[in-house]
Amino acid sequence: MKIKFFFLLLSALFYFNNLCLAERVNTLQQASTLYSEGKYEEAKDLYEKLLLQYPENEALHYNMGNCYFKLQQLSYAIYHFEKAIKIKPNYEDAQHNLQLANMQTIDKMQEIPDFFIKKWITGFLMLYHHNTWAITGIFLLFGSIVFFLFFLFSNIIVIRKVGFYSCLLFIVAGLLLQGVSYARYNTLSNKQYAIIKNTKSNILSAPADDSKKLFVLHEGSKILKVKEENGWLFISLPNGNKGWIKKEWVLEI
Amino acid sequence: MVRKIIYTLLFLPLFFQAKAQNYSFTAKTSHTQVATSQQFKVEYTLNANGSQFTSPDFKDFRVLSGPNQSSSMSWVNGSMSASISYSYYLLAVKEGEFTIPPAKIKVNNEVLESNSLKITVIKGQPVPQQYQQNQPQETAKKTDGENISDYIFLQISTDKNSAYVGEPIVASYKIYTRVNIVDNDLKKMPDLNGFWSYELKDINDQTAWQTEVVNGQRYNVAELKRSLLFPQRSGNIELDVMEMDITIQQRSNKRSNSLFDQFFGSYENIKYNIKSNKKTIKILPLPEANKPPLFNGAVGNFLLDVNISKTKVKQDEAIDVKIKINGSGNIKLLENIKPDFPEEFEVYDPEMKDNVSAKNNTLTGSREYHYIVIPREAGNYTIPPVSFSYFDLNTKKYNTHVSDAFQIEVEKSDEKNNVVSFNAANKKDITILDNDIRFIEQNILLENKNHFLSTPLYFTLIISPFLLLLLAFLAYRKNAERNKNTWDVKSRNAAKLAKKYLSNATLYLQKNETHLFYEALSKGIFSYFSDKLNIPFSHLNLDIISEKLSEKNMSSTLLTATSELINDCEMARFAPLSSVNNSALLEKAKKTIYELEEKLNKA
Repeated sequence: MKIKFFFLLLSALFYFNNLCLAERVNTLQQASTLYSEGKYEEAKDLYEKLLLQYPENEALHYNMGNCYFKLQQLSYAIYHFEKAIKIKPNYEDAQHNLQLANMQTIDKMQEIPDFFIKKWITGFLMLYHHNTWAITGIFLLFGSIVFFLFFLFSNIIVIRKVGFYSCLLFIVAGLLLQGVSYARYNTLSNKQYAIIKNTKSNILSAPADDSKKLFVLHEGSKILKVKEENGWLFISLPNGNKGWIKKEWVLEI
Repeated sequence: MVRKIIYTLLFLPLFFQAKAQNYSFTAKTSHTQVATSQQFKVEYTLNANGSQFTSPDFKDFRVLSGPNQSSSMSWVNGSMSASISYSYYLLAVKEGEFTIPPAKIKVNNEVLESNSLKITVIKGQPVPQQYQQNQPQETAKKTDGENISDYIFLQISTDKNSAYVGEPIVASYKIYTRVNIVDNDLKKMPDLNGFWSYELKDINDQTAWQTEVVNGQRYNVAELKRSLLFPQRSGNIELDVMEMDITIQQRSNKRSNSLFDQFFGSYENIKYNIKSNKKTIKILPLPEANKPPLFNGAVGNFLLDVNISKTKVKQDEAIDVKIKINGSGNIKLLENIKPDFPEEFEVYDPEMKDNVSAKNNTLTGSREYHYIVIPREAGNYTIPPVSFSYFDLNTKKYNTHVSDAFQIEVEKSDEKNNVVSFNAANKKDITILDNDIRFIEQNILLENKNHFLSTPLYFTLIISPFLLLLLAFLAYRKNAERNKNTWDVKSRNAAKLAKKYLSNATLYLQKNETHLFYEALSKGIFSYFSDKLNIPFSHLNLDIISEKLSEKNMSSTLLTATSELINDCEMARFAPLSSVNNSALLEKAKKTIYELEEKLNKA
């Protein structure tokens, strides 16, 4: 009885979901057509709406970036391209477009490439969605039970041995994947970098409006966030310059 | 008396004439407003013969030279006119408004006063302290070109004051003079920034003097230079001044001791620096409306003619393509016209031939682009139409001429080496024409990724495998316990069962049924060990039995007895004709089981 009710609920949800999905796919097509026709502003608005629903869809970010690029809003274009690459590090199209967008920025910044191991690790983490990682891990954990049963109830020593070690391996792998899943989730939600939003932003010596102006950054420059304090960010540049900037002057990736 | 009257009558006209003549003694200045350290000229002119000129007091100025006296006398139609002038060159020393008092001169016993002059001195350069009071006249005059401007000047004139970009303008540079020029030296030609110029008449060409009347004065005019100017950009473009050093002959004012000079007047060569006017021309941009996309700045009136030498060629055979622009306008400034040749054609830079001359204030003629193209691959190709756009100045509209498209049939070359020549070295790098962002992603998979991590479902799913593992383990434990219980029962009953089999064996022995006896005997022994030691029947053998027994700390004598019993039993069973005493074997089995039962139960 309970199970029946559960299935009913599930199918209802599924149906409702499908309805909404069809509508969204339609919106997607509309946006695509608008973009092709050069109506970037309208296309951007549609993508923005979709992005609210699917905030972690790299392709939507990429398309958003394209719209902003065409609208000559450099900082937003770079923000969305960066976001797409953060979600999918080997997103070749987004990398290409980001490169083009970065060519138009005013500040000359030498971005220090990440240590290759770090790059590999993030590349691995981002291979799949964290839900996928978690569910795969759970499957492995359930798989370990089968091997455990083999271990317990078999009279043949080889099968018992194989069962025991496989069971251990599956448990370790399953738990590791949970870690991977959380690591991916954390990397995505941890906003480490930011993009300068305004055409010109002053970097100050202290988190206060009347403090000394240290240097000026221009639209689209990527900065590293060191810490955050009551609406101010302490930022660092690749060349070692550090200073404070108001949080609303940047877009955090 | 009569004679007196006659004399009177004779002189009367003279008398009247003298009386009637209005003597005027005027002061003139070259400038009423001067800057400090600037020179200026003050001249007093009397239209009669005068004497005893009393110079005014130039207390506020410094006299550089003067008074320089010049006089002239002429008889026209029996009446005499004379004039005398005294001129001074003065230097303004201090700022302010000054009045030069009148000068005086005596004419016919009458003293005439000139007008006074008002001079405003504004701040200019500071006056050098050691300014030579009597500077040589020569240099003074050289720098002062102002007072000569009535006699000689340069002028730049154009045929129109506003034009479109690319519209030809005729600019002429003329010199106007009323004096004899001894020598000239061109100092500076005007800058023609913003124009492309075509010389209609060069400065070195011969010039013919003409006369022209300007402001009621008759001047000799010569055209120094005439150019066709094609504006290159829009806006107000200034034709800068032209500068010339002119040497003219002038009567000297110096007093000379030479009798000859005093009689004829001395002449001297004086060098002047003269400048032309500036001229500003308003250049209008070409209208943006209906501007053809391929417009490249042609202004005028043109015709397009495209010729192709052949339309059917063999591979690697050259084709001549001639594009001819005929007409008038800025033909010299046309940009290259390049048809879109197919990729498979090798195209060389065009040869350009101009045949242009100036006519009707514009350039007329033709320009020809001669392309040589070589098809490198066989096939049928199309050279798309060449289009040429220009701005027509008459209609103020853009016109576009479009040529025909050409079909070209390229046959395969007979030579075989072409195949060989097509190697990697002949391959071209792909030229990147432009950089643009990649197109948007159109196949987007919309997956609703709900938050799964850290949800109750997630934790349930994580914990449940472990619970299941625990459950499995508990089940195993329980099962093992139950098994153990059954084994206990079995082991307790092991002896009973063995006894039953052995008593059967005794029966069979008495009946002398050897085969059944052995079966019962071995069954009895093995079932005992199986049940007692908890070994499955199929696994039962001597090694396992002795291993299990030694585990239970059985004495070695008992162990050997057991192994002997089993061995004997097997032997008797599979080799029935051996000399094994059946009854003794039975006894031995009974005894060993008994002993084992005793020991095992104790343990």
